[in-house]
Amino acid sequence: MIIFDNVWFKYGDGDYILKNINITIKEGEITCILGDNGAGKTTLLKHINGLLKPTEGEVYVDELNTKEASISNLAKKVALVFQYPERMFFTESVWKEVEFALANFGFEEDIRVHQIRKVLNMFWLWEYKDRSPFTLSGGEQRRLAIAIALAWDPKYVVLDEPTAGQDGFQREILIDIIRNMVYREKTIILATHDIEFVFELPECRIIVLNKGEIIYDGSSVELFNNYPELLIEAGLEPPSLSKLIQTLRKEGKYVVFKNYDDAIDKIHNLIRGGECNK
Amino acid sequence: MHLIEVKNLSFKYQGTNKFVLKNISLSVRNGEIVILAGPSGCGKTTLARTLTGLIPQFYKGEYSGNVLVCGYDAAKTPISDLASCIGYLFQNPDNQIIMDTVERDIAFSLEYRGFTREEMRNRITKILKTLGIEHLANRKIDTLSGGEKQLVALAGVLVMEPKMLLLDEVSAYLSPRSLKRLISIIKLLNKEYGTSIMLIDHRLDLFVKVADRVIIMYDGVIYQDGDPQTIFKNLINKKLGINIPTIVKIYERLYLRGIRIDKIPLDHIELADIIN
Amino acid sequence: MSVISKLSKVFLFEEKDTLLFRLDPRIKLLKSIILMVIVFFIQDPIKIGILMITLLVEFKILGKVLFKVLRSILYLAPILILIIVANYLATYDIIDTLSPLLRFLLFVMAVDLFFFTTSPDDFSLTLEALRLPITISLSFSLALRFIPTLSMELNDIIEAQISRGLQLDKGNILTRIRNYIPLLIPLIVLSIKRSIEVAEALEIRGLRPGVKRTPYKTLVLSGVDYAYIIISLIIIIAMYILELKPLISLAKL
Repeated sequence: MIIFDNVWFKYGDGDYILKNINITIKEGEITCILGDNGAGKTTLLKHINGLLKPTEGEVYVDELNTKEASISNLAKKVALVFQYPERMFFTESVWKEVEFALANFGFEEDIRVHQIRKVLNMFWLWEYKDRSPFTLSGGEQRRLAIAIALAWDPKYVVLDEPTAGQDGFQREILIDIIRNMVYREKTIILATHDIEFVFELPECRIIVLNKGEIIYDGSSVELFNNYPELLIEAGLEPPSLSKLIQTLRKEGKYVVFKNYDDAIDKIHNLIRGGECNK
Repeated sequence: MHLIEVKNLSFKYQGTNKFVLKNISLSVRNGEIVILAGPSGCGKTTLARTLTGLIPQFYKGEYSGNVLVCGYDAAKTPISDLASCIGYLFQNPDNQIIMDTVERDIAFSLEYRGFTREEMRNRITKILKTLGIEHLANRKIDTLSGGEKQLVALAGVLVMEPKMLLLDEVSAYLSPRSLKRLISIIKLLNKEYGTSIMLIDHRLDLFVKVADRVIIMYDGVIYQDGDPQTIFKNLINKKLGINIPTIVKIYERLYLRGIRIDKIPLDHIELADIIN
Repeated sequence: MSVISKLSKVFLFEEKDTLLFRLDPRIKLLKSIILMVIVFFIQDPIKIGILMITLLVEFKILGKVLFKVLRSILYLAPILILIIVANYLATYDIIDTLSPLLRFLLFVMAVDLFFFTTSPDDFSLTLEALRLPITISLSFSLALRFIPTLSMELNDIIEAQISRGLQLDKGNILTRIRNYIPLLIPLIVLSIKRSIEVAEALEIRGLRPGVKRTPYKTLVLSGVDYAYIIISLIIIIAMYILELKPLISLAKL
């Protein structure tokens, strides 16, 4: 379990970047943190593995207080995948990149080989195992970054803007990867301003961050159907289906879309002149 | 004569085995807003580089065919000359900003064009006003946000008064708000100054309402070229790696269920109208 | 806050709106150079001391950078201690130890005078004024311009490596040095990639080497600049010429 207990954060004398953050994340959940650039998403994520420590309040990861535990111990449980994967590659091969993390965490040689083989295959990167990470495309580098993060089997996987710069094919792969991680019972936390992507994920918990404060914490279905104005308040654009819901409701047709497929069914119904079922 | 004329263009980067552009022909007229879409690696950026002269002058390789921009041969005319015709905006605005303060950076573009200081000042003032960034004139670059930097980079390019703006994957790192602002500026430039715009991006969903024309590239060739309606009709059930607007995806799913709608809705309002 | 960012705050320019910052950078460069040279020609610690005091006053009143200058000196403490110890062991004389120490400090302060109060833009304008080729002044400009970016990237790199288990504070001296490789290589690769993009940018922004350039901004001297340099020169020359021997003999007794 990850707990943010009344967390406030600022750098030195500046303004507070995070204000009054209270979150409890249970194992196995997917949590999406939505917010505009500068809202504090990345800052919040860095508190989870101890890179940043709260100015006031406490952060607990499985009962470890991040102010007291070493970052190394926290990193074993919490894998943080940053927005710019190319800002960490330095070895001659994809294999060695994955091995670096395993070596740091003290895994034995035979386990390392097993794990590297496992994650590279999981992410369709096995054919690149001897290639330099610098020769991979942007999408492949991001896959590699996530593969590395899973190599030491962390409990919590934290992703910062995973869809930035990704084309259609890469986005689909990413959605599959996330579904796969959920299946393997990882706890996933991701931060993004890409609303359409969040809409395509399985139903998840959404926390909306506006200027360092939480203005919504609840289900994605609730947010997209009933409170899209909160997204606008946070400087984000509600997903098109959300806007469709609002438009239809204004015209007297009360609809609720549970997910993408549900939306298609209901729209189909409406076009055929049917009633809108909840 | 068109603003941009590309005939039978093929290109392979030096030291590689694969042709990134394969016999491409296209033309762009004055005043058009065009989206060039396609998955990563399809050759979009390579094509953009040929339009600015970066290929073959900066990036060497095997080049065949003809590229004319504003009537100039892009392969032979110096890149700095072509800059008066085509303004190229990078994905990462930071690397396009040379000087340490905003005003001086915008001036950089003009210093080699034989303008007097008076003329430079006029142009700079005008562009700052058009983009709404007069308050940033004396700011240091590293104090700006991502969206502000993009506008400064844009100013540096627009100040040369190019006939066409080429924006390369600018959606990648901009926030939704900054992107919205950028799009409204693009519309303004096109409407008031007749500037042609080419948006290179795989996020069709973000730009489809602005564009007159959509060109789809795939694996080095032009796959489709036409207005948004026609393109989307032809894309049904094809997986090309571009991000199609959700509303269009819904149209696609309904189509596959047998529902026929004349005009493809491009946003939620159009779809709502259809439902009613 | 990364190491580079901390260091750059200590040793590099930070904007302030005071007289010292508004002076023409060429004047400041001239004074800096004169001071750096004069350090080799004046041995008398009292004279050096007087020059130092005038500089310190300048830093405080005309520039408000006194704290920063003192802090930069603090960071040089190891070198200072080395100078004191080496000279004392060589001469066993207080005056002869004080002299090199103070001269070194004056030298440092002269360097600070220029670099702490001159913005990167003014610095490149100065290089242009010195008739250096545009490629050289542009290279310096670009280097200074991207220091904040480098600092941020290094910070991101460190965080990414720590997040996958790198421990920078463990191990013997050899291990710690080896731990810099995962930090430096990404930084170098990023810098190389960036320089290619910047080179492209220079081309498409219209750089035409060899073509006559009309600079948008040039440096213009004003009355204040002249006053400043004249007063400074008077003080410096006075220190060089005047005889303070009687005072020194008195001190030795």
